Amino acid sequence: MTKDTDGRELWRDELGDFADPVWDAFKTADPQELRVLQRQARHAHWMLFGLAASWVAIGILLAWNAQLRNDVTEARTQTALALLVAERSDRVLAGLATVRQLDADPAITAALLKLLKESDDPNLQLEALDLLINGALSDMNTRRDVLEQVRFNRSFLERAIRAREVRT
Amino acid sequence: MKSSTLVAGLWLIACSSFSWADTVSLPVTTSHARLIVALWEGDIDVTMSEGGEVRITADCKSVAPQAAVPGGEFRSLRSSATLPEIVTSDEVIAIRTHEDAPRCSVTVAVPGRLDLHARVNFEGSISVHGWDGRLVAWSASGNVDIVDHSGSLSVTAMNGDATVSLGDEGIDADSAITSANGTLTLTVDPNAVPQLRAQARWGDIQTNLDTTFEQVVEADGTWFATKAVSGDPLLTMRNLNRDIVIRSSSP
Repeated sequence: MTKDTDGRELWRDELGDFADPVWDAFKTADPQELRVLQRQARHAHWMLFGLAASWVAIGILLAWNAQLRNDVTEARTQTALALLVAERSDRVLAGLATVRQLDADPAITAALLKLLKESDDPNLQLEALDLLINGALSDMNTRRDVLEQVRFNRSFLERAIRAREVRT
Repeated sequence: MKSSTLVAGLWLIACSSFSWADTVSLPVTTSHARLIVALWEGDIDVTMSEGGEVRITADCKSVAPQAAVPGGEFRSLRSSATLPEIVTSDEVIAIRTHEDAPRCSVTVAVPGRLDLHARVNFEGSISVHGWDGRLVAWSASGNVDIVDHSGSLSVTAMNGDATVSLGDEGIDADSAITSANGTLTLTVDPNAVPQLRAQARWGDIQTNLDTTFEQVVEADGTWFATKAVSGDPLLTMRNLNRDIVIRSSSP
């Protein structure tokens, strides 16, 4: 005797003539349950699709954000370059403050070196020196060569470098 | 000692310490944008004034010493070259003495708002009172005192004290103060404190401002800075060898 027949006999003992309809009704429940599982599977498929679309959207947004950041950095670099050659000290100081927040850039480095060599304002020269000393002027020979080209306040800058070296 | 010899000696002493004070007045027009005072040696004192003229008073020592020339020849007790050169153009009024010129004390009273560029190349002090405008001032050896200032500034005392007090409005653009071998003192109105950034390589940094300073370690050294507020001007202070004192103007 199979397990199914055993079950049907048990139901017949309890329910008499109603046993077969009830049993059949229960038997139909299994396929219904299967259909539910199939619907869930279809739902999961849409979720995967949505997830993939979200990742694509996030990727596009990240690329857009990176592009915007590049544009902003480029704009800030151009602004800083324009300020570094301004005649007024306050504008040059604003440009130097902007340069502090930017990554190294050859055009910025060239502008800082020009400022160091040609400005007669010691504050501007010191700020440029601070920004260059661990980069373009980290090499002693280069530093000496650049200092020889400084038109104003050279001995003051040399004293500032000595004060830094002794301290660090 | 004969009385005639004594008189001659006193005359020579008087001549050797002889000084000459001249006052020149120049009209200022609205096109004048900048005042430059650049001395080789001497003191600069600049104030704001009423009226429509720049008044320049120069007190220059004569060429000295003046040894007696045998034979009664003329010798120069005062040369016009000892006076500062005053050059005006449409936009600039410039007062200057050139390298190795005798010491001159120059007092300038200026009406209106001009950019001031004051510089002492060898030795001397700079004093500016109540200036309203942009200011660049540096002395190679001497104190720089800026009192009750409004507007941006770049001040350097290469070998002396840098003392700056800001007016009620504070600064209106990025500014900087540096001292090398003297004390740097800044006095600010507690209601108009700009962003502050200070670095003393050897000395202390002291303040009685009710403002929080954070330690910021950068590639070029350690700074103490107030919180950055977008749009507020930044005032950078450096002292290479001595202290920085930041005071509140209200006790």
